[in-house]
Amino acid sequence: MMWFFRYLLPWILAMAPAALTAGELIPTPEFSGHAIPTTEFPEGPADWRPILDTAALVVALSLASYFALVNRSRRNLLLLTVGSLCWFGFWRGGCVCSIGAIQNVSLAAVDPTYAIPVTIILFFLLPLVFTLFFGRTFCAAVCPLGAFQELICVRSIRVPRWLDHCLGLIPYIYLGAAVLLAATGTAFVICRYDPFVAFFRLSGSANMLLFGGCFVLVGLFIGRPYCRYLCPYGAILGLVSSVSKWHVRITPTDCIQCRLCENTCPYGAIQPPTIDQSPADRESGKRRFVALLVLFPLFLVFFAWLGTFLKVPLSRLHPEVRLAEQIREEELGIAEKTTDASDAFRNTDRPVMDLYKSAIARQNHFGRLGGWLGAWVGFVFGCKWIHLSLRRRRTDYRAERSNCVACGRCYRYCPNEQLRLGFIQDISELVPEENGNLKNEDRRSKTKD
Amino acid sequence: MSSCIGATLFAAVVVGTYALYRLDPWANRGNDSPTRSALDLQDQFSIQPQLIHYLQTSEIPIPLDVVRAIAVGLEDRIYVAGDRTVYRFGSDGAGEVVLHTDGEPTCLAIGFNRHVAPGTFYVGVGKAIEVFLPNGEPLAVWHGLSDKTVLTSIAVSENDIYAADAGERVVIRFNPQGEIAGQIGRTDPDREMPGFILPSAYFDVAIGPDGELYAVNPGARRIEEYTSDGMLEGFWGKAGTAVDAFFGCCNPAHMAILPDGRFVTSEKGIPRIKVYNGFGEFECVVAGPSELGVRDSATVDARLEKNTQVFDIAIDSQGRILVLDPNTKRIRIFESRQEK
Repeated sequence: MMWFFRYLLPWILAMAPAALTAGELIPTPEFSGHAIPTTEFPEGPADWRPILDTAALVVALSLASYFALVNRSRRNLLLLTVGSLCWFGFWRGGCVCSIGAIQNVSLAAVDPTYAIPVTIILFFLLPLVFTLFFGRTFCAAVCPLGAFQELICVRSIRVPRWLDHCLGLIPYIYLGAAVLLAATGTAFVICRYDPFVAFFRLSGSANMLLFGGCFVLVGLFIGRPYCRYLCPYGAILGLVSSVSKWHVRITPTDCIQCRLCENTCPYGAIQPPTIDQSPADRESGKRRFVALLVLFPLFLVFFAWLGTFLKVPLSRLHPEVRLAEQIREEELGIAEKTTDASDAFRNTDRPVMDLYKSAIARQNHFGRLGGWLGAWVGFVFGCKWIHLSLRRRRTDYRAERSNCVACGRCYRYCPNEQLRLGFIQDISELVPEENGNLKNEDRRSKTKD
Repeated sequence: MSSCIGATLFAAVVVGTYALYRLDPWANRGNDSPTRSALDLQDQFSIQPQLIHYLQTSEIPIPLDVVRAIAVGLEDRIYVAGDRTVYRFGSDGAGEVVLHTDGEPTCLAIGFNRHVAPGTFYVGVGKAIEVFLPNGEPLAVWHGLSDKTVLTSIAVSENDIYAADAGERVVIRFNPQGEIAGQIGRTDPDREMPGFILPSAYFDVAIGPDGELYAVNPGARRIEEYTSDGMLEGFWGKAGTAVDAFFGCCNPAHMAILPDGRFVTSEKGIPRIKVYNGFGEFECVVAGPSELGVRDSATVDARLEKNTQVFDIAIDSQGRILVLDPNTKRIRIFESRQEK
């Protein structure tokens, strides 16, 4: 035995690398007796899974609406948030999701050859329907992206109103770009740039994880940054929610204007009562409104013109245009190496000029579409300005319908809610008499946006 | 505290923006690794000059767009199949279309002097063999092959015609009337027949000087000898990177037999045409990559579509080696340096 370890084993170890290098560069495959396997096709997702997902969505939406509007339970909403995050986020890997479904629906709307699954249509429509009746309860505790951000929002700071308004325009612009790119078959950018999908799937490129990590870091201090400043589906839901039949209310009964809730919303969705305007202010507001209405078409035209300059950058997102550019660089000797796409193209025997013509036509098409995208941006800006110029009368503290995500954080700050739940016997236990029913002068400083 | 939060947010926005900029969702930038797998085959591409015993003495341009197969007929006439035709070249290099086929031909054989029908053309077209008289008139079409049939080579003996079917992985023996007289090489554990291993559609057969059937078993990197009733008589060939071995997954791609019984093999991947004696011992190289005009390269592209340098070969009665070059659409004629 010792002889083996002392002499034979070192000899074997020393010879092994030599045997590898002196032998074949590619190990000889042993085919003898090998049975060629029959081609097998992987099974698609089980039939029951889309049904289960859709059923889970309906149940989650129903529960979220019940917890937010009837039960008024923040704890139940949080439990549902965790459940949705686990199901739609980690178990289903963030797909299918209602946000990304915008792109499928857009493509299906313009391309009759694109077969869109019923599940995706339902994931797109069901939250809209629920929002139409109950407000953004989908955002409250069903959307996995919203759930993720809801759970990490531990120390929120208030975003200045002007910045909030400016950043709040981005989702609409993103929506327009995403629809345009999806409808042209260029790319599903919402999915490609989803900052949380890498966490849901526990994998992703370093840059993707870094991008998502930064979102998480921002989300610790600024509530739901993706929902408020990026989510295109949130933009649609916000519009639908503004006309919803029912909506989350801060107080279960009448607002006593105690101001205990006014700083509780980390998303800046609580609006204080308005003050009465002086006749002079009202008159100048009317003039500003009329001026904006007159300028509105000019806005559209100006931004549409600006959008035509997006022709080149937008078209470069399309694979055919990118391929044409790669082929051109190869033809001119600029490209250092070929790509798989360019190799595949050359194997098709398709004439290069044919590709160039197609790419140029597509680029011109993107020039027109860029104009439409610019017009959309102008429309969004114009509507925002008009919206800001409108004066509305509010007598209570209210959750702004379009921005409120029905998270239920504000409930427990309301004395009436505490009373309803039996935590206090009388409102005066929480609110000194002089704090209720504030005078107009006291509110004035709080209501100027 | 608020300044700390502000600084953190600012840093997160900056880093996030950078990460967003660096994101490469269309994989345009790759991952900084080589674009595709490649093998360093510099040593295999360069062949020692003293091993090359042949010299290209002439070449004949072929006026066809696609060239598929080469064969030598009566009076050492050279025939090339391609473009739905069979093209004939005279000794002066002048050519003419001798026949038209129904589809794209994949292989070709011509009855030699001792064949029952000298000068008859046997052309593999799709899943059938089209037979033509020496003057190019259609004689018959032999059907009866399977749906999986991929005809890659035809060889004629005195009384039989052998067709290599890469789809079924057998050699099919026809009688002169076009009836299937037998199958050779089908896997049969009872007869200890391992069968042909064909990872790709290169499967060549040839007839030796004494009428014996030789078939390439490319996956096993060897050449096998069979009796006409399908008994495996013997085989030779070894796998490896050395010049005397067959390289890669499946070689040689083509084979021909010299009048004195020596073998000429043509490999794909690293294109090498070599001569072995009747016992399968390496003798010399006819042409290596540089002689065949293949770009000297340190690497080989692993993708199949890039490996187009597959050279069919044929032998005339003088022992000249005719190489069909699909890249330049030429017939390269090699002759022994000693005889020259």
